[in-house]
Amino acid sequence: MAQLNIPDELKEKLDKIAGDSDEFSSTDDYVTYVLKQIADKKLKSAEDEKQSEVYSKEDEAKIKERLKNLGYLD
Amino acid sequence: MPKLISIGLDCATPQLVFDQYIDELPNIKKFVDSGVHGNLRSTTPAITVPAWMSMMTSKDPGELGVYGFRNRKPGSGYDDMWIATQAVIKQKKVWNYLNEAGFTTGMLGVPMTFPVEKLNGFMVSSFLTPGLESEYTYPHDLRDEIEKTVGEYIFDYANRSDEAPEKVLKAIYLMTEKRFNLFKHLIKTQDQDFMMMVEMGVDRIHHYMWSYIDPTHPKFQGADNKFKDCVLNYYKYVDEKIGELMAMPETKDAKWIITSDHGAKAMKGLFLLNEWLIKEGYLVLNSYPKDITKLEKCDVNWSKTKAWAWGGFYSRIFFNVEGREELGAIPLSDLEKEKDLLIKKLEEVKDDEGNPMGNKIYRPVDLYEKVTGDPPDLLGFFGDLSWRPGGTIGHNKIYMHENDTGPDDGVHDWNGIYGLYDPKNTNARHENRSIYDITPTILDMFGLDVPNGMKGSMIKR
Repeated sequence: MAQLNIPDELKEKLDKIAGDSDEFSSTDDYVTYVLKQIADKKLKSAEDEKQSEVYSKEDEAKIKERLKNLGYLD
Repeated sequence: MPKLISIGLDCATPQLVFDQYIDELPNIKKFVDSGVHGNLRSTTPAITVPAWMSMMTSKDPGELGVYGFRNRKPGSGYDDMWIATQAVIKQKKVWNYLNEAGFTTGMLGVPMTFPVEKLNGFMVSSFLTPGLESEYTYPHDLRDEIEKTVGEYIFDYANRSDEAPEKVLKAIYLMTEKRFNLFKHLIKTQDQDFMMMVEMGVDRIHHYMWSYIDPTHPKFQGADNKFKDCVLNYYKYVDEKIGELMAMPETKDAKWIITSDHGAKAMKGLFLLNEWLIKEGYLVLNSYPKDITKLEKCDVNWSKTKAWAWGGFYSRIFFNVEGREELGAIPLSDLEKEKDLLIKKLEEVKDDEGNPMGNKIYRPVDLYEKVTGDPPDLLGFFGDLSWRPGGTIGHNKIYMHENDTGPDDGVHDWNGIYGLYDPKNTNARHENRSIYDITPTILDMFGLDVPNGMKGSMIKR
C-alpha cells in the first residue's frame, strides 16, 4: 500500500465524511473509493479518445466511402 | 520455419468449395482428402467485422462489443456512428497468446488489424486501412520491403459502380496476386512460428459476380454468359497460389489451416426496412424524398418517430427512447413492449410473392451471454440472410430486386469453411465446427492449454 500526502485541512474533511458514513470503515477506504471512481472515468475517456483518434476526419471519410462501396452502409 | 500457416479466404463458401469445385482445387482438396474439414459456423451477425476478430479471440460480438463495421452509442446523435478498429478490442488475440508463450507471429491482412499492433513478429494491417500513407505495418520499415516486393500494395477492391466485369476481375486478381506473393516473400524472409494471411478477393468476386454463376439467382445472366466460370476460375487461381506456398522448402514441415469468416449465396432481393417502418408508422418524415435518399439526409420528424433502422447484410434497429435520445418518442417503460411488438410484426412480414420471408429479429441478450459496447436495440436477419435489409428511402415500395447502394448480387451465408492439414497425419475427417473453435485449435497445435472463457473448443486431429 502506498501513502500520499494531502493538506491537513482536507484530511479533516475526509475524516468527517468517512466517519459519518455507514459505507466506509475508514478514511482510507473512502478516499480509495473516490479516487478509483475518478481514475477509472479518466482512463475510460482516454480510451474513448484514443479510439476516436484512430482515423482523422479525412481517413474516416475514406473508410466510410469504402464501406458504402462494400455494401455495409446505406 | 513456420510451424503453422493459416490462410483466410474471406467469404469462401462451402457449397462452392466443397460441393462444386473441390475436384478442380487440388491443393484445397488435400485438406478434404487428408485432413479435417467442414463448415465453419460464423458469428451472428455473419459479417467480416466482427467475424474475423471473433475467430482470432474465440469471443462473440457481444463480448467484443463490436456488432459490425459501424456502431452507434445509444443516446448519441441520430446520425452518429463510430467505426470499429483494432483499438476497441480489449480481448487477447491468438497472436498475443502465442507471443506470451514465446512463439513468434506474422499476420498479413487480418480484418480489423488497423491500427497495427506491436507484437513479437510482424503485422500488415487490413482493408480498413485508410491508405498506403497510413502506418500499416509493424515494424514500420516492413513497408519498404513490401513496396520492393510487390510494388504498390493493395488493401482491397471496393467499388460498387457499374464497372465492366473484365475490369472488376482484373482488379481482384491483381490484389490477390500481390497478397499471395507478399505472403510467400514473408514466409521466405521472416522466421515466424505462426503465419497468417487473409485474402479479401473471394468476398469481392462473390458480391460482384454471383448473378453470372448461379442459375438460381433471380438475375442470372444466362447459361451462355461469358463469365459463368469466372468464380470457379478465380478459386482455381487461389488454389494455385496456395499450392505455391505449400511447395516452398520453408513450409515442408508446417501444418496448415484454411478458414473463412462466413459464406455466400444469392441475394433474393432487398427489403426496404425504413420504407416499411414508415408504412407501419414507426418512422415519420416531414417530407418524403423525391429521389433515393439515405435516412440521415431525410427530413425526419424525430419527435414522432418511434424507431429507425440501418441496412446492410443484416439490420440494426434503434428505438427513439425518451430520456435517451434527444427527441425520444417512446417512454423507457414501454421499450420492451415496443420491442416485442416490432419483433412480432417483422417476423410476420411476407415476401413480394406473399410467402413468409422467414425473418428473425433478436434482442442482443438473446444472442450473447455478455453484451458490451454499443449494441443496437434489435438485430434483424431477413429471409435467412437471402433478403438484404435496405435503409434508403424514396423508392415508394418495400421490395426490390436490385441492391440500393450499387451492383451487388451476393449476400452472406451463415457457414464459411475450414480445413486443417498436417502432412504427418493424413487421416481424413469431416466435421462441422464453429468460428470460435479456431483459436483454441491453433493454441492446441502449439501445445498450449485453451484458456478459460473462450467460447470455442479445439478441433482434435
